[in-house]
Amino acid sequence: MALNIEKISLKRGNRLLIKDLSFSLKKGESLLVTGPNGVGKTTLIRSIAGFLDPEKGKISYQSETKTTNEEDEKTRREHIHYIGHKNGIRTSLTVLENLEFWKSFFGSETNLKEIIKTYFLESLINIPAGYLSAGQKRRLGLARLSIVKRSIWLLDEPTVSLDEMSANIVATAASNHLKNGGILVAATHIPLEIPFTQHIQLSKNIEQDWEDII
Amino acid sequence: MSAFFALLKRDILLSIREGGTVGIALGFNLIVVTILPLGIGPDQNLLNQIAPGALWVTLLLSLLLSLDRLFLTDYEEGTLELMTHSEIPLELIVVAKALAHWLTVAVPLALMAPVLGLLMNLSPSQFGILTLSALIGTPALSFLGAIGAALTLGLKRGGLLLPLLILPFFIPTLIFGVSSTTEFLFLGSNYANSLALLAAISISAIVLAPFPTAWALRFNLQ
Amino acid sequence: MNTKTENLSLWNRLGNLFNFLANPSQFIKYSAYILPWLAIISLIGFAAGLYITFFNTPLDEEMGSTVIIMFVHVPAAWVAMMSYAIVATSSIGLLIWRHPLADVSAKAAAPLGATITFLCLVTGSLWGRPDWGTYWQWDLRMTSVLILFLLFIGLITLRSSIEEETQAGKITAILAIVGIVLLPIIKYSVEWQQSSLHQKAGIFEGQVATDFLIPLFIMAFSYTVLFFYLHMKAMRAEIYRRRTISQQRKHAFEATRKEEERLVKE
Repeated sequence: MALNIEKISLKRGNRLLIKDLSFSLKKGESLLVTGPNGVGKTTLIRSIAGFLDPEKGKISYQSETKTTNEEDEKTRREHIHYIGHKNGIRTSLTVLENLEFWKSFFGSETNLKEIIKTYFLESLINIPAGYLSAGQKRRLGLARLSIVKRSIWLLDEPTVSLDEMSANIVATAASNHLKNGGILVAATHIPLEIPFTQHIQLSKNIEQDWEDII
Repeated sequence: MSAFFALLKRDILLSIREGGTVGIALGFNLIVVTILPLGIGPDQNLLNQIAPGALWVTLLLSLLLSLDRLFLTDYEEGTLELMTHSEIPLELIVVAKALAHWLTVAVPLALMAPVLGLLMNLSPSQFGILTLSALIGTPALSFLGAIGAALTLGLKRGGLLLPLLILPFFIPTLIFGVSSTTEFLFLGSNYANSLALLAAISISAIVLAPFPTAWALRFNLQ
Repeated sequence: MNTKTENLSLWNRLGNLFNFLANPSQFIKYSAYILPWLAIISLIGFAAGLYITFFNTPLDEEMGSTVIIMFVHVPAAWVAMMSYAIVATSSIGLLIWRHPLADVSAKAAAPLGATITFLCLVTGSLWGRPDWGTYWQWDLRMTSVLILFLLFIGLITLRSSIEEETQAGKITAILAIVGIVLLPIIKYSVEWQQSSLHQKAGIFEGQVATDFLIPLFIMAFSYTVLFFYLHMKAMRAEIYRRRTISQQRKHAFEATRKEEERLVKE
């Protein structure tokens, strides 16, 4: 599996946030994206996740199993784990029901018990997710990473609202993922105990391109 | 396809647990059909005459009430984003969600028709066609309604805008639904044609509507 | 071999022409030359058309003088349909080629289309009063035009309720495309209902005399030219509006940055 970013430019409204950014990640490689708020960390992650198309440039995903005429869209769908600002949990379902839904939705065979244990959710399994604290919700959202094995992890501020111990769970999970040949892109301004191989510092002072919208 | 059925199962479970949507739709339908005879007077023949049209119009309106919730909670909680990363394309996710909507809202509304027929002075032998035409016609409403739900997803007052956008698209279903019922009840003519057209519209909606819906969802996730 | 290269160059030339026409800055330039001509042509057309309508048309025996309304009403119906077609093709252009000018065109055409559809409804209803004895009849044509009007209203409200401009354009474009697929189906079902329940003939199938056709076509032509005049004018206004907004945002952004720099220095 490999992720190639070739000279992409990203826009939000008519503000050019990222210009001609290139990098490529192979098996076991990871990228840390840092920078102050509003410089385009989230926009970058979301464009790799496929939610928005780059203004210019190309994002491509290569998988070992990919056949020649299979489009990027399908590869992306099947190989990406995206953790965004929202946790993606249904508040009226219990913790266990949430996990079971993701398990069957992703067609996974994992043993949920282990995951529940790893993410410290044992005492919460029968509680509706709406009653959890922000940190517990985040842990539940992150547990999805372990439910199904996927080769590209895109984490946007994964440790937000987590205490140090929970942050370590994420770091361990990510390190194992990299050891097993996964790819990781994480955007954060909190230091993470993950051995990143690449680092991009986005800064606010990049040239702002105020191209006319028309 | 496990994702498809997992989602279908979850949405049905949620509608039972959260309950509100179906309850509002059924309650709204009942209250409008209660108010109608009080407004136009208890003339048995007149009520009988307008029954097919009145019941179909209230059905459309009740169904509309539940449509704005179709993608909203999943969108707000971030689940919709994650659903785009599954083995099945977003179009099929739309199908699963619209199908769940049909099963949990439209089918109960169709099954409620006899009660409403009773209020409109129809005889029990005439109840069957009400339920049958509603069952055949409502898939189109759920699937076309999904387009509107996706278009108005990010809006603060999307629920108010939705009827304006979507009701014109319900007209064919309304016309064939009413005509099949009228033909069966009063004209005694062949109502199979209308039912066939009603089914044709539903099938086309099931096949075609997921594409613009998924398109609009993708734009809303940008 | 020779013809092939010629074809290719013709194709390229067409492509270049399209790029030229669709470039917003070029559009601003060449539309400035076209606009006065459109205005003059539609003025002359309306003058001629209305003159013939009022003074040179034999009055219909059945309908009397009210037939004159036809020359205002029927072209309005045609142009109403044409304007929806323009909204829909512009929407397709936006979604496929992502061209900003296509969005401007769709946005500018919708309120114009709504207005002319409304005009069509009002004139139709005024014409119907002496003829049918009622202002409104659920006749196929009137019903379809009313639905067209509702679709225009839907497009305008949807666009105005989405704040982000590019987002609004794309979402509205989807509605316009869904609308053009569903319009014929809606029309067919209304027609079906009428034929099975009311059995009513159209207003003028086979009744239009050649005396009527000439002024009718002149009026239709003038309406069309007027529509394109207004459309072009509205597109220019929209382009200027977007440029202004863009400049204002840029200004606000740079002011903030300067302030921040000053704070850092202090």
